Amino acid sequence: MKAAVVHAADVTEGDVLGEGGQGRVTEVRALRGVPVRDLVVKRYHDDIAINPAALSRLVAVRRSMSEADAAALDEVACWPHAVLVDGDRAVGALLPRVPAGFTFGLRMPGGGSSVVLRELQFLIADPRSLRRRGIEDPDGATRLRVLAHCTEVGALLHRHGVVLGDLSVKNVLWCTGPAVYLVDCDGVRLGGADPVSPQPNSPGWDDPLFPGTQNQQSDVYKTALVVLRTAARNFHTRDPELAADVLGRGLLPLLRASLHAEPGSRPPLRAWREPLLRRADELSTSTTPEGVTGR
Amino acid sequence: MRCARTPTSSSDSARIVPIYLVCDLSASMAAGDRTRALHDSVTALRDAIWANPVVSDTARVAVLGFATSAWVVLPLCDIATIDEIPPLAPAGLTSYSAAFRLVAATIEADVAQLAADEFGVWRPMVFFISDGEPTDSRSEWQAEHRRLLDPSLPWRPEIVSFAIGDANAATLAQVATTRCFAARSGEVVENAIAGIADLVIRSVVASGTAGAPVLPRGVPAGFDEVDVL
Repeated sequence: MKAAVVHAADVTEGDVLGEGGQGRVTEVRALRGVPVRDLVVKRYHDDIAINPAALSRLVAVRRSMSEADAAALDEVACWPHAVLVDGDRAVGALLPRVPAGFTFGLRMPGGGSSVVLRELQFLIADPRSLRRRGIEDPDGATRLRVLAHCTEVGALLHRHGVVLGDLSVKNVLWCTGPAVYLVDCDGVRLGGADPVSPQPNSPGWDDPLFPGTQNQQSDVYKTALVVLRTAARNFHTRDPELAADVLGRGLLPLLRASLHAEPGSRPPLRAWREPLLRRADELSTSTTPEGVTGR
Repeated sequence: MRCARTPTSSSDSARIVPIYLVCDLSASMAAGDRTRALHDSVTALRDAIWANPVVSDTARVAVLGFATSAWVVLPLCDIATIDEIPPLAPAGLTSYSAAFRLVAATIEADVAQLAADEFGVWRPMVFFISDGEPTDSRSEWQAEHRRLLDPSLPWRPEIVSFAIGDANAATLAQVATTRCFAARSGEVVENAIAGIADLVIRSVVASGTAGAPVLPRGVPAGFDEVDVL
């Protein structure tokens, strides 16, 4: 897609893929009558006040990148490709479709299966809950390698001056590649700028030191929650001790510092990758049975 | 029917969000495919929670029916553990008194059991759906309604009500404590039920994900919002 701005009248929409608090996501079948694949359109609800300049900036940043950098961004984030306008009003964004590797077929209780996004919740959920649903439960080492990639993605975006903003069980996707893919990127901030739409912290994912705002320091806190909750298999905990067995004593100080230190002294996201990978290697060679720390 | 309960895991667990679907199953609900639409809606809710294990962690759902009397269709549980949603068999009159009495007794027992299992509990959410006017006297059902919402009860529910079919919006506006929605004149009841299901599912998924009660914004398709009285 070449244009940074797309007129709603030029978009042929297909099935509704999802609806959230902010808007509705629909597949795009064609642009100006030309069939396209792997694009979706997000239309904001009428009562959501969006910041068109912020949306244009997100689109422009990606367009200003080298081809390689833009490709690297597209690999890890569902970044807006173009602004959708209706008349002279910005009403939404064109986004890439989530790559198939971040979805899976979920067997449904009544028969058949449904394609769902492989959200962070499927990495945190306890083994029994996953087993009941017939969902893959990666071993401890694989889980830590996914987390290492998650912190790496965050560090990459921080280097570009991006504030991730909101992190939750719904907007971080993963696969055992290992790879991580961030969705709802219209909630990110560039530098000190406002986001496209006010993006409240997902309940239970707030940084107590920054209840009303989001910055790279609160990203560090929330990423630590991702690590903690995934390691502890607990959707709501903020207690680092619950992850002690999985993370090992070596990682606990990093976890504690990311959660509790004065924000200015919180370690950067890039501090996570190597220790997580080392711990993953330890778990790979360990004879300790899996699940000793499970609930 | 036995429902799985999540064992107490740690003091760090989120509080449980108890959610009650209270459905009018009086004789008028036998018309057309109304009960099938209702059954499909509960099944869709089960499927939504199945696809969201985070919701299973904190949201517990019960289904109650009422007609001349009221009964528990599905006791409070992680509904993702239910293979077959029990049938919904409509018959009889429309006793709001029976409904409110059962809701109060069921909540009291459920909260006591959750406390015994060492769970913290949020104030329950009740989704009250009716397709007709109550056949018991206004003074009678209002007395039960007052007992259900007694301010001294810490577990008194928040109620969202829906008027469909021949129900009077003004009556349902008295039942609600937070929001009331009335299907537009001429709206096919089966479609209205699907609209309710959409809001209820979004609310349950949002509540379970947040670990706290959430009622999403917006009005179900085919409905108007009515001021709560």
